[in-house]
Amino acid sequence: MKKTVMIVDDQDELRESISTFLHNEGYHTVKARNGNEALRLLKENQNVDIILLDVMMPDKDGYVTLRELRMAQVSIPVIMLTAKTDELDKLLGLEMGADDYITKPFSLREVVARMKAVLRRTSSEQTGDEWIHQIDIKINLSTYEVFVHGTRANLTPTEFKLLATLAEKPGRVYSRLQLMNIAMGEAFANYERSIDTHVSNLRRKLTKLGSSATIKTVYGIGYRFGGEE
Amino acid sequence: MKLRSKVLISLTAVVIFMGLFQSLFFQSRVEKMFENYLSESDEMRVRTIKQAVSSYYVSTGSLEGIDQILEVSNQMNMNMRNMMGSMERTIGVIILDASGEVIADTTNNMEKSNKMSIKDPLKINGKTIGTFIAYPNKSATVSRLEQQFVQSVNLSILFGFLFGGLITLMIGYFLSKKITRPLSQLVSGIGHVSKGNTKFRVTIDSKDEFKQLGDAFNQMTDTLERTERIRKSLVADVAHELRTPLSIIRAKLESIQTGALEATEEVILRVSDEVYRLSRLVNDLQQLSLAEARTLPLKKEPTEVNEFIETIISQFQWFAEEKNITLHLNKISTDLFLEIDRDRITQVIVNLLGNAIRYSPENGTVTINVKVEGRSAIISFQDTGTGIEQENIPFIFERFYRADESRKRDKGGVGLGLSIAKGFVEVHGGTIKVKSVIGEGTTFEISLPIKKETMGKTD
Repeated sequence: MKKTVMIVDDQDELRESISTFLHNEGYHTVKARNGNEALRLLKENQNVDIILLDVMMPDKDGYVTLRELRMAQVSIPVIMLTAKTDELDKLLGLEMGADDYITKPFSLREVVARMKAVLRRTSSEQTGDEWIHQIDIKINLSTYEVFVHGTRANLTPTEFKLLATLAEKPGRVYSRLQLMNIAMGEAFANYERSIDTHVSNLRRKLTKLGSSATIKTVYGIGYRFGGEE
Repeated sequence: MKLRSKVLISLTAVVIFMGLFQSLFFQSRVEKMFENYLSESDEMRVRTIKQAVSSYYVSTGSLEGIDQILEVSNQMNMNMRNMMGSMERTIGVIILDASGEVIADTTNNMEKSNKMSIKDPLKINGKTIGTFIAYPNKSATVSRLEQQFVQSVNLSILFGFLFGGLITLMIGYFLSKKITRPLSQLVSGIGHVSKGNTKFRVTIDSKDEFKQLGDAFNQMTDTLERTERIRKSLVADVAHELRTPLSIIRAKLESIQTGALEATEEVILRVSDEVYRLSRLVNDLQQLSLAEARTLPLKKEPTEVNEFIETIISQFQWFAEEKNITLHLNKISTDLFLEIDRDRITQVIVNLLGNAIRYSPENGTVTINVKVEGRSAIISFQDTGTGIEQENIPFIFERFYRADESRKRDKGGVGLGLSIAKGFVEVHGGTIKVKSVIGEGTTFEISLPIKKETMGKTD
């Protein structure tokens, strides 16, 4: 089932970019230019699963909008988009009932990842475990387990995140820097080549369990999971 | 009003009031003293006269002819006074007999004031024989003497006041000049600074609070000048660091638009990586300034140091192997829990360990030591590199500083690593130190505080 994301941001360019990206990732989108429009649209359209809410907006800013939303007993998860990194802003957002926050400049991939995490968290009661199934590999995103031909693979957290990221979009190329960020966090960004070690370890473990899935090196850039040559 | 005039006016006012009060006080004191002296001598003389009257009565059996006696005693007194220049005044005496009739009166035509009169019954063996009334006469001589005295005192006070006032004004003039000179210097200094001239310094020769004020002012301008210089070079450095990735992005995008470059996933990924580096730089700078202002939010969690460091080291194995460098970790024997923000301290260790491996020659050794010293956990990173020149050591923690200009971003990042390490460690309440010997290597040592309650805690 396609999820619907409401994007509330006064900057047209950014709003459209997010919308396009989310469409491509398989989401429906509802767009609002400001808080008032968002609240009006929410009254008309109850089918919103998650809201991306910009903090800095003219007229009615993100915090005010969020407060009004929560006061109206609307429990749709909200992710705040903010340019300020001061803790006060973050706490304010979270205490007022935001589920997460993303600081600008953000990568859209990060937005999607955070959205998924929030959705998974807020709807964990209703839905069961989330799985990725590629070739002979089954990845349980909820329990962080990987099975090859039914055998549990013994992966490190870094290897798990690498595999889950690559296997979710077979054929898509990820740069080392991107994989580095996803799998190991920002701190190691200057040492992106360490991803090579993790990939080779991952390959070895998968092959050992008899998997025919391949992680291909894209020369000079990074890696992709399977896909056509 | 100028401070100088204020000082002069207040000093003069003090002198005037002092003179005024002194003269008033003196006058009243002198009057009182004279009065006391006189009334004492009056009493004595009245007693003498009374005694004379009594003995006359006793010897003659009546007061008849007493006026003769009084006349004689008065005359004697007068002579004595003239002879000795005494300040005693004449005393007029009236004696009434038992029936109240005046039998003697030496007051002549002198002014009789009842206020000063002494009225006593004359008693001999319990029998009232008459009434004795004495009128001390405030003689002109005495008043004149008193007046002269008060006048001369007043005159000397006036002279003293004039002379003292003159000296006070002179001293006040120089003193106020001395006080206001550093102030006017400071005023002009502040004027310079507010106009943007942070190079201006004041010189104050005195050894008082103004000297301190001047020193504080100079210290402030020192700091201002330094921060201004840092700000300027920071802006220049940031612009420089942004320029390179921006040029790359721009060139790639323009090539794609004109068709010179095909927009393959690889090409776009490279652009995206450059954008990431830009965002990263912006983020790092922001976090660094937050850390330096001690306002960086920390998400502290109890973290076991040995395991924490081992995990990070394992991520560098490939890098070490590439250069055939041995990574040597000396753990501490027990579990040690620190309250740290894992992401930030990971960044610190990555920066320090990365540098240590990067600047060690092939086949070198990097030793990581973990130990406890007092209330601190010490983690040190010792490399066998070429070392850092002593003269460069004070600057290595400054943003964008590179000891070797040739170490460009492809080799050593943008020059924020050590600044960030320092900022993040200090925001944790810790310190960072560096020791370096040319040809032997460099040791970076971070010290993080241990909270007592986290020692041996296992959650």
